[in-house]
Amino acid sequence: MRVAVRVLRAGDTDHELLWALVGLAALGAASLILAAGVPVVVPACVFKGLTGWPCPTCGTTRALLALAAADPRAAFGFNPLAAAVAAGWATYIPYGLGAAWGLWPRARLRLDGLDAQVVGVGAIGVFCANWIYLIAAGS
Amino acid sequence: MTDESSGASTPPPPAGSGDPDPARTGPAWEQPGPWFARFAQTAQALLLGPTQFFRTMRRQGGIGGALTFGILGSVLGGVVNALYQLLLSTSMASFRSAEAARTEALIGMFSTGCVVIVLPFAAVLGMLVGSAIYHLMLLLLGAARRPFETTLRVSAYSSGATSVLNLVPICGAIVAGIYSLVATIIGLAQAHEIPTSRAAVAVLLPILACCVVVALFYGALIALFLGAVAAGVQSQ
Repeated sequence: MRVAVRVLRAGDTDHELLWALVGLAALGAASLILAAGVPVVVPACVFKGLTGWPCPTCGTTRALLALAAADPRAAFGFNPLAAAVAAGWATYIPYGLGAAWGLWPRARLRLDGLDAQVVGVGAIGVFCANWIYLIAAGS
Repeated sequence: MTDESSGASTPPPPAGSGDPDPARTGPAWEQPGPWFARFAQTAQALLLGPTQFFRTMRRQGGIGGALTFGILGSVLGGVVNALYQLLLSTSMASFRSAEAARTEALIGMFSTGCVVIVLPFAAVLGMLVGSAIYHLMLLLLGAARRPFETTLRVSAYSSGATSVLNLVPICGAIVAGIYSLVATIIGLAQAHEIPTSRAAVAVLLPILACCVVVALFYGALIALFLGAVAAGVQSQ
């Protein structure tokens, strides 16, 4: 695994700006919909209805609504992984915009074959751990 | 902004010819070989390395191949989604009775059949309309450095590859939706040789505009409803 810190070259994808703008657009769209009073329906989980166990995404909508209401404790209680991803992405937005505006050097991660496998296995492990938590908590 | 377009961009070639840039050899889908292997390699290349993929994508040379890829990916993702729904709804119905399960299975199979027939046309329409909107936005931003065919190729490959993510049950559709936006932005930036910021505005602004329209429409409905209620109260 190698980490290179360098200024963006011509033709490089500005990932920091890209993910910041996509996150900002998602926040903006959600804010517009909520501000207009469009009712947010929490969909019934078919998997839970079938098996009695929550699926890996159960609690995501409630977690996002709790974060929007500035209640992170409740958000992490509903679905820790979804809350962490949403909170992390929201925190990333100002960094991404700042990096693009301030011409900061960017960190670029290069994963070799084994490193990529380790990261992949780790991600699956985190996903499964979150699911086990949801089942244990009876989400 | 830090991102600048490439200083050594190539001029558009005459209509009907391929991409003059020798570095743009095209994805595996546009090379000879078994179709399934070509499809899988192309989808994997785009999902795991969209920047490199769109750097080597041919920007001209016909739209048939790219559209076919987009249709295949969309149909694959749509059919798998329909089958997941069929499986779950039939299983839930079986808790009621065997007859209910059979009825649900028949309805589900009919729905899946309709999906297979309708989805290719819907996919083509979606790719054409989406590409038209993106290209119009690029023209308005002064960033359309290549013809519409280039934008359509980006849209087709992005939607075809990210539709494969629908194979992942439960959360695949969510990830596919977000990553489709990201891949399209990267694709437009690399293919038109424009800054990431302009490509992002071209893709995200129409979506935000739709949300504004929905919010205004819903707000107007609420205002009408409240007005009607108030008028009814006053008349009593």
